[in-house]
Amino acid sequence: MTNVLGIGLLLSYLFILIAIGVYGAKVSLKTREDYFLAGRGLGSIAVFMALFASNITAFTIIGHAGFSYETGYGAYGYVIGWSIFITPFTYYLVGYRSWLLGKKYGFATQPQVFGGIFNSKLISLLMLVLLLYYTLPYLVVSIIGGSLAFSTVTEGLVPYWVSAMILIGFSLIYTLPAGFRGTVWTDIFQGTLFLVVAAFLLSAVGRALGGFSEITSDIVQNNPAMLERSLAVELAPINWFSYSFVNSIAVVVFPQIYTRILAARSSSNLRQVSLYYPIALAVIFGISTLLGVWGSVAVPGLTGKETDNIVPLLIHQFLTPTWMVLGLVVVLAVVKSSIDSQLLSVAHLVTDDLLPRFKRINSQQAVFLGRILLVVFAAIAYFIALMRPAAILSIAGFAFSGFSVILPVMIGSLYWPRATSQGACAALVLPAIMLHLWYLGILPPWTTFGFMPVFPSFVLAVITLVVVSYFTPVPSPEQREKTFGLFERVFK
Amino acid sequence: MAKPSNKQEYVEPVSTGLLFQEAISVMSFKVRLALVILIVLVMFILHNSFWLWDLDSRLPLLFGFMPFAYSYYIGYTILAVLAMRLIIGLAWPDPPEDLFEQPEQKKQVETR
Repeated sequence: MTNVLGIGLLLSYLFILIAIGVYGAKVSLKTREDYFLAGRGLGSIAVFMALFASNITAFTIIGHAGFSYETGYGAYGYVIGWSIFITPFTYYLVGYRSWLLGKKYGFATQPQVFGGIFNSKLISLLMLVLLLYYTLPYLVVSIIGGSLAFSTVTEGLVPYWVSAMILIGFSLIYTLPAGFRGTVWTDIFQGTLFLVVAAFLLSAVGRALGGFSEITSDIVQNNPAMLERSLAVELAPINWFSYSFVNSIAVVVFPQIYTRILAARSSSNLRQVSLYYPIALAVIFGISTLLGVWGSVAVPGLTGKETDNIVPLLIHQFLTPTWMVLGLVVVLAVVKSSIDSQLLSVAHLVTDDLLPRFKRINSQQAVFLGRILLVVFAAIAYFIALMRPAAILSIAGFAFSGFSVILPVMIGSLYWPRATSQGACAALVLPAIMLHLWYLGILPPWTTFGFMPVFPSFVLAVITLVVVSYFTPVPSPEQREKTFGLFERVFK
Repeated sequence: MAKPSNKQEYVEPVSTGLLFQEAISVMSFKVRLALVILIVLVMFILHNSFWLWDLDSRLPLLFGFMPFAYSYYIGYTILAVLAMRLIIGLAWPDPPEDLFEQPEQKKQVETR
């Protein structure tokens, strides 16, 4: 850490973030749409990097490498395989129609879009509550994961509580003054940074271990189980199938992702993103998988949570201290690019969808309140991250599943004119309750028929939406015209 | 295609080929949507291809360092890009130019 080049790199990184914050604040207009959506003016590269950087968390570099260390090459397909296709597909399936509605009616969040489709304040409120309920613990866990990673990479030199403060503080430096625009610009910078550095890191580790072919031969000889998916208990086909319903389809439901889609300038921008997104996901997770699997023969003997340290250990044992600093910058970039967008989206949801229920707020007031809420949520998240209460960690454990089971309502609302607000309400509430009953152990495990709870909950959401909608009055022609009349003009 | 003269950033349209465009022009949107669903199902089945797992230990390493369980998803990524390209051609039209030029565009965001 005393390495001069390393410290120079860290300071340069911090300086760029501050410069982005200052310049972003200078060019931003003090309006609600500009602060929270960058005036809906994001081009292809900006949307691409904003979605990608917000999608990638500490899990990608730290957790996934650890999982690959334990389970082998199969971890690649298990964790990201289905996402490679379905995540960009959901940007079309849900994203494009939502973007059309947002652009036409000025909707800026999920509660506005789906409350607007059904003309229902209840749907809007339910969406808001569920999104906040799952996003806040997810945010806290991102901070905890990032701080632990930061602390590990610095070999304990920076304690956990300071790491958490640095991560949140660095995020606020540009998010507070420049809002959405600041997070997008830093996403472009940080997303490029961690893709490039991760690729160089893989190459450097590969060379240090004797070359790609050499290390793979070593794996074939000493740990052949790494090659075979059927030998990993965690990758059992029923888990593999269930996992298709966990993180891959949940991504478009995350408020920070959904908002970024609404902020695209044109349909063409979104198309370009969906087309090339699979490559970016495959590259970053491919690198992480190889580092984890190579680590299983280069640094054998790690078990349980220790496996999450495999990337820092590889850097520490086989590369120079400068690489350690670069690794630190990657961890910072990866973690912050998701924390800043989560913080902003939570502040956005409360400013735009909760506060106006009590008091009329004009555009300038919304920006002011949004900034205050950013600081408040950052402080709350920091203190919860320090305490690490079991309840929050438990909710975060199934937050991805919670997001996933919201998806049927989003798809149904955008594609099925017969869907009713009662059907949507029931399909939001019932699966969420069942998910809690299963994850908290109130219902016995056999009631999921061996699947992860997310799969039966997802099916339940679909069935509930269809059945309740058929038993409740058909939506009014005006209400249907507002959404489906618009779609009929586009999808001819 | 000429570059639009307004401030909007010009984005190269995703080319789908003349023959393909002619073929899809005779299909109704419902048929095209059905094809999209078919593509999604094929991709889902290819991801859950448990019957191929035996090949993990039997096939040689691709480029000398990528076993089948890994290289399968390199191929899957290429297929995913092709599938997205097909889906874009089939069912992702641009909105008509006048779609957003309605009275409703007086956005509620700024007035709320």
